[in-house]
Amino acid sequence: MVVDSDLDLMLRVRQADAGSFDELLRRYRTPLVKYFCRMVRDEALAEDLAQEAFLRVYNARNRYRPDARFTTWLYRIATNLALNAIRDARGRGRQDGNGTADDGETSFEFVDPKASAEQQMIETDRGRMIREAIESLPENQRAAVILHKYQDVDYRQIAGILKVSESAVKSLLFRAYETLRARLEPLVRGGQL
Amino acid sequence: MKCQDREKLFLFVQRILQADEADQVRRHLAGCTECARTVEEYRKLDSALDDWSVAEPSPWFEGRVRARVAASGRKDSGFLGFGRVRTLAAGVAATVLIVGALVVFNHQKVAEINQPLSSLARPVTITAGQRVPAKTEALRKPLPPEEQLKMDENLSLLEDYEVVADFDALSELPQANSN
Repeated sequence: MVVDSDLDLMLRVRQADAGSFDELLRRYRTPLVKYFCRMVRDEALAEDLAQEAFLRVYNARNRYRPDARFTTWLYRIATNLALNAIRDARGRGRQDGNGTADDGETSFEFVDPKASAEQQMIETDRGRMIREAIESLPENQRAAVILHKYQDVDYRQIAGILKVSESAVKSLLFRAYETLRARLEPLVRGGQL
Repeated sequence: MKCQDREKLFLFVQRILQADEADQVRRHLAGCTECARTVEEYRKLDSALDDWSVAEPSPWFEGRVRARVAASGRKDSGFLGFGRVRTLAAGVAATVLIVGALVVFNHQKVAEINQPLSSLARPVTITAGQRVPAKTEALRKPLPPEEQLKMDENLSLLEDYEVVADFDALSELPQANSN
């Protein structure tokens, strides 16, 4: 069975083929929702943002250029949405007097006690430590680590998504991992908590 | 390679290095326990990061995306969208009404212009053998009020250049009996 490439599917979406859009939706719903979950933590918001990303893909189908990989385009849209949501949340936190950022680029909290309680129940201590360490990274480093480690996106593509050079991506990843190595030392040295 | 070039060691673990650089690092690691330990730490860190799991999409995720796409399609439904057709139809109807009214109005005007002048003038009968005076007695008589009113109403026709230019006075006179 021949599997259509993302490019073929996207070109057919441009010709108003609903079936091809459904196929792209099936392929990328899970990676995209998980990407947003890791970027913004709040699961309900992550689903909303993933829906918005797919809607933007559909609405911008005529502007899609076949010279760019579909996943680069998709994750660029997703990353912009995620970073805007993070900045909005940080702005709300400042307005509410709940901002915890000390350098303007660090942690943020989405105010959703129900979602947080549910998440805390399923989250392991190790998972929580990793999440908190990655959330403490500056925005670009966080996006680079999540794309590289969890979305399995090539560093060349990450450069296209974040609109930086390939060497800048290598540097972002290295600095991020150095920070994570320091913050997650108990996991790295001891293996178990 | 230079010992303790941590970035290169990190890129080696992440398989981001070019093949020749990766071979160089491998050779170095074979004889450098310190760098080998650093590489092992990066591997452990990378492995530890696997423990961060997040939720799967909800079962209704796809349905919601399709609904939003459908709603967006209705809102931006191109040139022949229902709302635009309705607007277009109203515009066409208004244009037809205006054009129709203009046609009817012009038709009435043309009918008035084409009305024979003989119907406006008082008929004069000239019998055979009778000398035609320059101004007949009949024409000298004042018109009855209703005839005068009719003449006054049609005076505007005489101010119309085209009507006057095409006017052949003799052709408008009643034909004399040839006998």
